[in-house]
Amino acid sequence: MTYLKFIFRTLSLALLLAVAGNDTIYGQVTTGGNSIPTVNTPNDDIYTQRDKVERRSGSFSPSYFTNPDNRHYQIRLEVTGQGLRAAEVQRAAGKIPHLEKENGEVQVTVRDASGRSLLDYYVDNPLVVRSCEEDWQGGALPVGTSFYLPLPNNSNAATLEFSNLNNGEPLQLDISALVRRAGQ
Amino acid sequence: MLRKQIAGKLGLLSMLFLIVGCQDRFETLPLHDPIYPTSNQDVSYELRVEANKAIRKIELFEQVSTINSSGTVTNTSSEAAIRTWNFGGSAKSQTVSFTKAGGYSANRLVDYRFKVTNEDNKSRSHTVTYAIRPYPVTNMPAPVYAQGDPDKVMDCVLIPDTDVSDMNVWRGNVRNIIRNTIHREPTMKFWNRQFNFYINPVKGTAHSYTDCVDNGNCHEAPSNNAQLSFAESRALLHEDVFQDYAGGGLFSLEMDRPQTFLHENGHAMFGLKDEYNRSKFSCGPCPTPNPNNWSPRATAEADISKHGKADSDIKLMGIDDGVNYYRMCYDTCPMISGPSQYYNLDKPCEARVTYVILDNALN
Repeated sequence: MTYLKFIFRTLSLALLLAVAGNDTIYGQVTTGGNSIPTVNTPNDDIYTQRDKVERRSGSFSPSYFTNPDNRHYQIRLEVTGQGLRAAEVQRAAGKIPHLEKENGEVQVTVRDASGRSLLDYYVDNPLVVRSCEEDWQGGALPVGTSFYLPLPNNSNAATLEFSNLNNGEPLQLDISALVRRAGQ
Repeated sequence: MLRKQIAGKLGLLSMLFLIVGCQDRFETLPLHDPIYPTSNQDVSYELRVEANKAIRKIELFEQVSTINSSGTVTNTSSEAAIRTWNFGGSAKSQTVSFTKAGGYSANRLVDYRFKVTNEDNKSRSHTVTYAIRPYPVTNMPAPVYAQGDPDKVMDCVLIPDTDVSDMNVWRGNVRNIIRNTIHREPTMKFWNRQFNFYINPVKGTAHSYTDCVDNGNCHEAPSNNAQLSFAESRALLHEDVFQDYAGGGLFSLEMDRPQTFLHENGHAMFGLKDEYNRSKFSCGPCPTPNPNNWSPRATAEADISKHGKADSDIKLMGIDDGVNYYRMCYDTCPMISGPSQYYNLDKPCEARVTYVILDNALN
């Protein structure tokens, strides 16, 4: 029993030292120490995490884009004098990109006809044009111009909701006809 | 007896250090040139590698697939070794290169794999896939530096602007962006395999900030824009110099400014916020977890130990609508500084980048 306890303590110490040394390797990898975020693997060595991520990431294949399970929709929204108009929905190859799920400026919710949420994410205010040159500038996206958002791979998508767009006013758009027109 | 026990414990401890504390680590940075070669054009392969043990051998393999206009691979060759380098001595970093004379035929996708073996006979492989120009798949962007499943890695489509006068120069700048961002900035470099880069076959047109806001002439997306929707970032690379902006799902930049790419891609791909002083803040609430802007100050204070910072590192960026906004990255962080020099991300941005990469790959 005592021997087992000793092995456990020694192993813990060795692991601790292995982890503590990560951010100094070659003096160039500064990802390490306390700033390592924790996604599923809170105490993993960052190199072990990287190995795991790389294994999960597989390899590139063009078949990813031809696989019908990997499709989604993209909607084009046009700025009008009255607000926004759902202008066009198109089929898009590949799955939806990585999206902010927890927090952000504007919440986007896609619902089916019964009100069930199909996709929920956050974006920077799409009605603001941002420039980082010559100090930060954020003007309004002009009337008549468009922006694009991803929609889930679900032909039952019926409404697109925005919260906190334009000073907190919620906005809901009917997209069911456009999604139907875009087809399966 | 006691001495024996201590000796035994020390021996066990040493063994555990050897097993656990001394991993075989490699940083591999493969790159090819030109980044998007046409058929039968010579292609050079280069690998820069650093390891924590002496490097003994580097091998280069290739595998070539034929692809049709529907995106179907109709034939794939067996993987073949095309070059091997052997090393003696104790060098832990090496740079090797090899030119494939005559390149490859049309309608091909090429996988090349570098395998690095160290003195303990442990190895790491790194595979890159690229297309031969023109990419035959209708309306799809050409993978020019692809390393993983597009659903699990961060995808970036680079779109040529209608103002580009020499596409060879433009493509050279795409390679330059890869070399000077994901192969240069330490956090990007650490995660360099988690990126796919594509070149769009259709051009778009970037407009200046003032042309968009004042005249209603905003970025014109390429006609195949829906087929780029899978990508986390879409960048219009132009030749003329003007005030760039992000909006409508695209960001623009001068094609020869990798530092600007690092900054703007930081917004688009990782949700990083600007950290320079300004009068308006787009961040409220800031993205969580792992923000690089904070408000109120107490939220920044709660994160200082996580980032190895001190209270004095918390800087007021500005005040918007009576609300104070804070940062804690150093003053030349890429989310602050301009395009004149290369700077590394600081801990908060690094944590955000790592979080997004892990979230995308694992969840």
